[in-house]
Amino acid sequence: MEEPPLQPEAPPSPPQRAPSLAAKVAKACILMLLAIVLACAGLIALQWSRGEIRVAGAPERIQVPSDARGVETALATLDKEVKKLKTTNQKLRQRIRSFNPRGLYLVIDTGANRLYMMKDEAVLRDALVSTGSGVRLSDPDKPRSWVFDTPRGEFSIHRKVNDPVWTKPDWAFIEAGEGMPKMFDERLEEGVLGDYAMDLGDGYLIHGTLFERALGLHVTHGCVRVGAKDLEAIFKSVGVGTKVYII
Amino acid sequence: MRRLITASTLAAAMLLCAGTRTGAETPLDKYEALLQEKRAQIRENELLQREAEFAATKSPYILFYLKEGKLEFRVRGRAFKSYTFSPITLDERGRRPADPEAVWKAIGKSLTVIEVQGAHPELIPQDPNTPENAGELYADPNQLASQTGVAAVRSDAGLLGVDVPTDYYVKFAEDVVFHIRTPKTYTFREKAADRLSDVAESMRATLSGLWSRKEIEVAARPRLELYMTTDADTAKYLHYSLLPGEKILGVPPPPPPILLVASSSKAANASGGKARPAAR
Repeated sequence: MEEPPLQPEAPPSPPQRAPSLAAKVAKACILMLLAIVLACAGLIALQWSRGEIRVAGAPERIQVPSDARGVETALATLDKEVKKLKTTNQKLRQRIRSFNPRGLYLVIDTGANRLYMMKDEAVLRDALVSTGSGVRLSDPDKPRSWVFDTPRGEFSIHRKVNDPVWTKPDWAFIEAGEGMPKMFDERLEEGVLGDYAMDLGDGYLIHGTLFERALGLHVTHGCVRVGAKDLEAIFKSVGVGTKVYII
Repeated sequence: MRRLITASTLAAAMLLCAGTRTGAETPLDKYEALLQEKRAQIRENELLQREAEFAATKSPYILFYLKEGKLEFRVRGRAFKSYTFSPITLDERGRRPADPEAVWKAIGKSLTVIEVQGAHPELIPQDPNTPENAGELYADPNQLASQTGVAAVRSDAGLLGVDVPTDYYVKFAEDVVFHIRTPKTYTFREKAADRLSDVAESMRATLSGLWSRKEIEVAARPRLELYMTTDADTAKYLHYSLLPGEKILGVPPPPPPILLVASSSKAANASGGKARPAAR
């Protein structure tokens, strides 16, 4: 019996090695990383499309004529417009300047507690003062309250008073825990406002003080307290009608 | 002859190129410069018109120089004092500088102060029948308490005054808040926590619209919040200087750069040769 021809032996296949755990983990990590990167890119693109991310200072696109003649015409128009705008702005600046304080006037800085006596733009005198404390006081018996702020803006000196006498308002009695006086004379108090006072209206004064060591502090009920020497110099320099700028 | 013409043409071309290279102004350069000038003038015009209205009154007003970070107090058109802030940022930690252009647009016409944190604390009247008042005259225990907000002050404010906070907010009627801050150094942990909360907030805001049209409701925040850093003295001075009702006008920064794009001559002619008017 003839032996069947021998089948050629198939070449031995290389041993199939199962992927190691480390390789699997590495593969999974790479895939996860890729997914995270894609997700982040997607989120950024989404925010960008919503307009939440903006490029600061990106140039604005302006259309100009493409031909030389068109550019020349646009240039001439633009030149006219710019000149007109410059003239208008110059007039507006002049108008604003026309409101500027001139001559002798007082400036009170409520932040730094300073008073400047000015002539045009020059500072003639710089004084330490006290301005409003900013506290609120309520009347325990009636529905009314006071805020002790120094008012802001442009004022003028209504009258000048030598040896002023303080007429104590209601809040002075409430603050001191005292009852309201029945007689007007009980409201009068001499010597507490210094030697001079300048009335700014609505009960606000520039006056002297017994408490010079409190100059520079926000301690008043809205008036402006000045030291004796500065007060005398200012009082003698200004007149009725002198402007006072409180800022 | 032909060689001469070629040479002269070449020379003319070289001259033209040299002219362009050395920065000689082309019509387009001039157009761009003029357009920028016009935009700057328009911005200035808007500000001057508003300032002219304020200068005509007796009330003070404040100019906010956005590029310089300066608040300038004016009455009748004259500046009397100014306070400078650096940096001005959009976040507490100072990581996102405020873009003057964006802030100027957000401020709009003007801002009106409605509240200064810690201002106008209540003064408790003295009680002559209570002996403790005498002891509180020179040792106000509530001066620090007043920094956290409107707290009662049991003292003679006429003698001592009331301390004001150095870190506080200023609220405006236009849904804008300025946070006045003194310089601080943040720890690594605070910075990291801040960043993480930013990322979380951003993710939440983004993802909220993916599954439903209804956005997750977040606490209503002001339209614009600025964190303005300055020294403690300036912060106090500003606190005393601001009263409800005062107005702030934003001084515009220089207009942003422009990019000229050629249009068809037909379109240009149709528009009378005018470029598109620049907004603000």
